[in-house]
Amino acid sequence: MDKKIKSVVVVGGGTAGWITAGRIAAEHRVANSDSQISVTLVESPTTKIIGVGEGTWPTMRATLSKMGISETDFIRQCNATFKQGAKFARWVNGDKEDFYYHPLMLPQGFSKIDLASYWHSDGQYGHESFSNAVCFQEQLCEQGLAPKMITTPEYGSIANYAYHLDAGKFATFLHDHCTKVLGVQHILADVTAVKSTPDGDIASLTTTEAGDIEGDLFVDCTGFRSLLLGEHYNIPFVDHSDVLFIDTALAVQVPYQSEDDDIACHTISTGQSAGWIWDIGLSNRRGIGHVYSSRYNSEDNARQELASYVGDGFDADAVRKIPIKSGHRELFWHRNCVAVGLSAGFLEPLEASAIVLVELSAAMIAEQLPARRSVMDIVARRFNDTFLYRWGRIIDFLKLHYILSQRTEPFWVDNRREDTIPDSLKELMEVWKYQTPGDRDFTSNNEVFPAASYQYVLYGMGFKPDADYSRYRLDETENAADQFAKNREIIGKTTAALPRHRELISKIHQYGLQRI
Amino acid sequence: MSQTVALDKNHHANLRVIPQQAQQHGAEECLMPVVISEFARLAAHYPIVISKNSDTGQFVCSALLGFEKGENLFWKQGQWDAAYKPLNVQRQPFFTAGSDNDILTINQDSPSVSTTEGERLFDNNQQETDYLQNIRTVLTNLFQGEKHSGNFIQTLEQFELLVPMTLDIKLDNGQPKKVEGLYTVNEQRLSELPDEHFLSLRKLGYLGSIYSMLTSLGQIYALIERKNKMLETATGWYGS
Repeated sequence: MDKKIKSVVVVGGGTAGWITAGRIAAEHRVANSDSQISVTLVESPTTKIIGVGEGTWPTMRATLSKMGISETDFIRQCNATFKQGAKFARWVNGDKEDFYYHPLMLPQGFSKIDLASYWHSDGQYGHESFSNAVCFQEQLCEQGLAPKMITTPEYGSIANYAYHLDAGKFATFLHDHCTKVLGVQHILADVTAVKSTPDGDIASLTTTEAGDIEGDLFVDCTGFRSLLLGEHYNIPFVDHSDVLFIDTALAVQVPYQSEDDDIACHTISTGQSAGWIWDIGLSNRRGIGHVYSSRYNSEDNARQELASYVGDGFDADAVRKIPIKSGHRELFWHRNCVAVGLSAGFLEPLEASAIVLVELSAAMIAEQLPARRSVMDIVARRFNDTFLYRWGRIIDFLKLHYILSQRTEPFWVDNRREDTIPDSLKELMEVWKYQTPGDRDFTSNNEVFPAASYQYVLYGMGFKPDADYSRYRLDETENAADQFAKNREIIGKTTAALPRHRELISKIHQYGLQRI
Repeated sequence: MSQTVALDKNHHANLRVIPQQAQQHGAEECLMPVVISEFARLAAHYPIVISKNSDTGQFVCSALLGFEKGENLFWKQGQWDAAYKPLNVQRQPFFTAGSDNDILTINQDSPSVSTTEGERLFDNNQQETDYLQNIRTVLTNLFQGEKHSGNFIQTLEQFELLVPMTLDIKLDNGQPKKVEGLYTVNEQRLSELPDEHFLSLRKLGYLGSIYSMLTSLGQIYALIERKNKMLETATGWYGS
């Protein structure tokens, strides 16, 4: 049967559910009377959302803006702050002074000159950290400065940025916007059964509170449970814990000492004996969590490490334990059901890859929403190809953070074992022995992390390519010197002009940002 | 921070203000906050634009006085070179305080404050002079005007009539100049405004202000002329 796709049913009211519902509703003008599409979100009144993911990518700015959301409202209501990248502390050798940055801006002059090659070949630049030599953002972070001013319009920036946000508040905020502005229908009901059509599509969901809910496309945003794709369709789970060892998170919220404490403008990720601790500054509190591998660490010891990181004010009773199963489904779109968010998979919290996959999935579903059932299998195949590739690249990039460490605990030593490293990453590492990561290494339309990100992590972790292989080609030394100088100049200008992060957040709460 | 104190007829009986010196407070401002009640008079001399308060990001109506920070092309040889001066210039060195802005204060550190020359504030009978009375009127107009201007801008925002405006200028000496951070009314959108919105602009009395503002943008050419003249003078003095 070749019926029109008119009704989209999203199951699950967490971040993934509301972002997907909102993006589809905005893209298809669901709130307009002449729209051909309806979007319904079914949320369980009893299941609580996980609500731990608090860091985003810069892509979130476009995601929010496309849903017609005011950045001021978002920042005020989700206790959101700005994020200008990640600081990785104690990942290289575990020393106190050991850190590097993965900022959100390309190296200076990246499209015209590869400063990384010059940084390696010339001792003159090499004494400064790579990220600081080629990008001004590290200094903004180190000095606690904001990426924009109060006069910068909503979603506009001086330095590129993403957000830190309260995931629970974010879901509520999106719920309000989606139902009040975008025309998403919200049903509070527990799904008890799935009814199929004769050819195996999902026909409707049976609920205790709202009877049968019919639909043409069903989006599974039910979290780790994976109610439709996993439980109903039995799509196998591909385990990646042999590559990424993290399997447990211990999360806690920590208040600021005083209302005007500085807010870090970057995610701080600090290496531990068998994992790492995230530290995220919101406007009203910090979110801190320890992710570790239970194969290498006991829960008691992991809690101890978390307690000593937090220091005063650690509330042992408030710690939430969340099990993590690293991997993803073998397929994400099967028949008329597509999974977005944890139901599709999860690797580990590093580099906020989960939320960006939600945004990318929501965008692709919204933009390529099949007009008729006959098109759906084609879109599904494209979706599966695209996202299998993306999961693969993310696994490579996350693993890259571990394989160059010199730390000596078993967790870190085992992370460097050949048999735990995907072949695709081994290939890249082989190539990068002789040349720096460039766009030539990432030629798909569906890349997730740009070449520059690989440079920041590789050279932040201290990886040294054999500079002799490229030195004879480096004949733009003057241009390179200009670009290094330009970066220093921009550091001077921006650090003088930009306000403190806390100050800007307070002003946004008080006055708001202008739309233009 | 300058020393601003409440004006007191006993304490300040002999105080005088030199008005020309008072105008010096605007000598290094390239944007001067203005209020809509003075738009018609301003439009004869200055481009009226909307800019953002650098401290709060909020929109304010301003007269454009120069093309870069610290440049006031109306400040020439120690004088304000225009027949009409914005209320915020006229008011110097006086301010108001108190919850109803009903306390008149004076900036004692202003170079315009004197005891020997300039306009007296109080006469021999400790009565306010015409000069001071006039200052009170200016301050009242400013205070009321700020509220009206705030409402005016809010309405423009609500009807999405504001657009960013970038000035791309080439000066006679060949030097290009780019001025950003200015906003004005989008004429296209104004002309396509739904009838009921246009009617409410008329009823609120904003049409005149909008057209004054749009017409005043022609003064940008006069401002460029001032800049060219200044560069010419500078070249004559220092050589090119």
